[in-house]
Amino acid sequence: MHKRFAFALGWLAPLAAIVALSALCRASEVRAAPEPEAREQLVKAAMLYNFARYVTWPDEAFASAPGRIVFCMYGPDGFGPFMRAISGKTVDGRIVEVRDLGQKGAEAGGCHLLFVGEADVSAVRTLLKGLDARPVLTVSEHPGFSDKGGMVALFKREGKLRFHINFELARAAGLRVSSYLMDLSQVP
Amino acid sequence: MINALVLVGFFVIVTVVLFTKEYMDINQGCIREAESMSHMLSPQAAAALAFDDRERARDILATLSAQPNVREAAIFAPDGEVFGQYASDGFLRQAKRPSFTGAASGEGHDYAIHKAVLLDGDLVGSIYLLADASEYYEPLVRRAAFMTGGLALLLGLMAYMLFVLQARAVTPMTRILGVMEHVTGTKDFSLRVPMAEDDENSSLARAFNEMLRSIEERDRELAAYRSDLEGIVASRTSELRHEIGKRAQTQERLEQALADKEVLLKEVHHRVKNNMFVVGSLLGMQARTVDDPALRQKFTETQQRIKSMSLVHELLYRRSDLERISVREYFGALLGELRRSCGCIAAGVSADIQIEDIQLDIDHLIPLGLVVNEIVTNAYKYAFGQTGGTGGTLRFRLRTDDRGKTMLIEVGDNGPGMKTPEGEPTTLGLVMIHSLVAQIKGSVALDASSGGVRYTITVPIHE
Repeated sequence: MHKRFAFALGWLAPLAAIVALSALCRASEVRAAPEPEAREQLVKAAMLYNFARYVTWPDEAFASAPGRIVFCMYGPDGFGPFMRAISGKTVDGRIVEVRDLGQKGAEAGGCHLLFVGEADVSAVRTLLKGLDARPVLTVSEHPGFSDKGGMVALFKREGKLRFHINFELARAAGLRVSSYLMDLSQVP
Repeated sequence: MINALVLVGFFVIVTVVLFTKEYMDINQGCIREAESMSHMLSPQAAAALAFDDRERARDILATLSAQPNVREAAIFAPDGEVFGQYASDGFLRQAKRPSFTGAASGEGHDYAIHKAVLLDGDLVGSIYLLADASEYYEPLVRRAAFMTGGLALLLGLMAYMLFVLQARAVTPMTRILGVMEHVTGTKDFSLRVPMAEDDENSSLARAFNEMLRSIEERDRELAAYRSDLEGIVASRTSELRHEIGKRAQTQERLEQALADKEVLLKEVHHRVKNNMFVVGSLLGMQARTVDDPALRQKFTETQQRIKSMSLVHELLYRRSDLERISVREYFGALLGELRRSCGCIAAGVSADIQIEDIQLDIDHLIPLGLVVNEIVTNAYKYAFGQTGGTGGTLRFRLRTDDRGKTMLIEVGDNGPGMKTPEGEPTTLGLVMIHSLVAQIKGSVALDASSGGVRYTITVPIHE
């Protein structure tokens, strides 16, 4: 007996573009950037977006704006265009709002996800300390980010962007991280 | 045998249905198992795809080594690129994203699952599993082989039994039936059923042959009996014909003799009547020569008596029956003759006559005729003679009684009557009346007490 369930996947091909990457391609700045660097930034932005999909914030974190999830950038504005590419997408029914904090770390408390760009060590320590166990998922490529009190440290391995999650910190901040994300977490 | 074949057919159908059902159940079970595995792996694959972690994808697929029936597996990126791959034999073939989504059967007992991997409703890739269900189908195949072998053995056994039955029962029986039909159709009882072996059928054939022999022998005996019987019947028939011929001749002679006798008897009666007529005529001629009226009256009375007798003979020779005469005809004629002979006296007398129509022989009629002649003559002479017959009535009744064994004759008048004689009768008329009635064993009674005279004569007639 040969009973085939043949449903063409051909129509899925146009939709098969990488979800995050396809969205990010809208930015004209991205098209102007050098290809390998732009791709890396796109992957990084997509990774931030996917972190939000596997992390659950406490309900009180959305008390002020229930329908929004706020992605913040701290530091230089070089990553801003890629981050803004994911603005307007949804995570668990909430619309992603991207904020560029620049050097104003005091406003980081209103964020749900905070990407820390290039900054000196003391500024990072101050920023993280200022959050003081608030439910903000902090992400950065800063070396030794986990040691400084950051939750998700990004790093490169064999040309691929990988991450390490400090689950203790995340749990202490009231965040619940999916076990699937745990499986992907690597030691830098 | 038909029932056995139907049973086997039913068994085969039920077995096929059950095997098909089990095959479909196994198929569905395998697909459900594969779907369960893909469902289990899908979230992990989604995470690996989301974070572009191919190593993790391979690790996820490597867990399938715990499922020995999974031969190949792959995780595909949305663009169809192989994101992770697994092969149970360790030899990774060039994987290509399948064109189908869902479940499909492969070669042999292989089956495949290809499902989309979604993350929050977004397509992030797909997962493909190819598994071998041989270990599930193996018992079914073994059982099917066993059942098929058993069925073949059963059919073989049935065929052998059929052959044996055909050779040992059906063929001899068919032979016997053929001879039976031939014997029934042709009545040729000389046929015999050929016998091959000494078994039950041979016993049957022997019994049938013995029956045929008995019938044949009986037929021969019957034919012999029939031949003898035909001879006897022919001889007896000839005798009977001869006897019938003789009897017919005898009857013919008897009939002829009877006819001759009747002719002769009629002739006798005719001659007697003629002779009586001659005697009566002679008495009439003699009476006319006598001067004495009383004497002449005697002659006339005698002449009348002879007439009453000759009337009997006249009726006998005129009728076909020479032994019996209708009393109504005879007494009607006699009373008419007496009325004519009495002339003017009788003319005034009315007659009241009722006569039952019976037949009576000559031995009774002649005496009775003389008796009635005497009584009626006396009535005309003595009862109506003084009045010339005016107002007179002659009454005559004749009937049978006692269921036809006795005849009653009543003769009477309404004249002045007469003195009843005491003792033995003295007049010739009365003497004659009593004498003649006694001659035929009858009785006569005279009643003159209530006016007129009435005679009642009772005669046994043995009718």
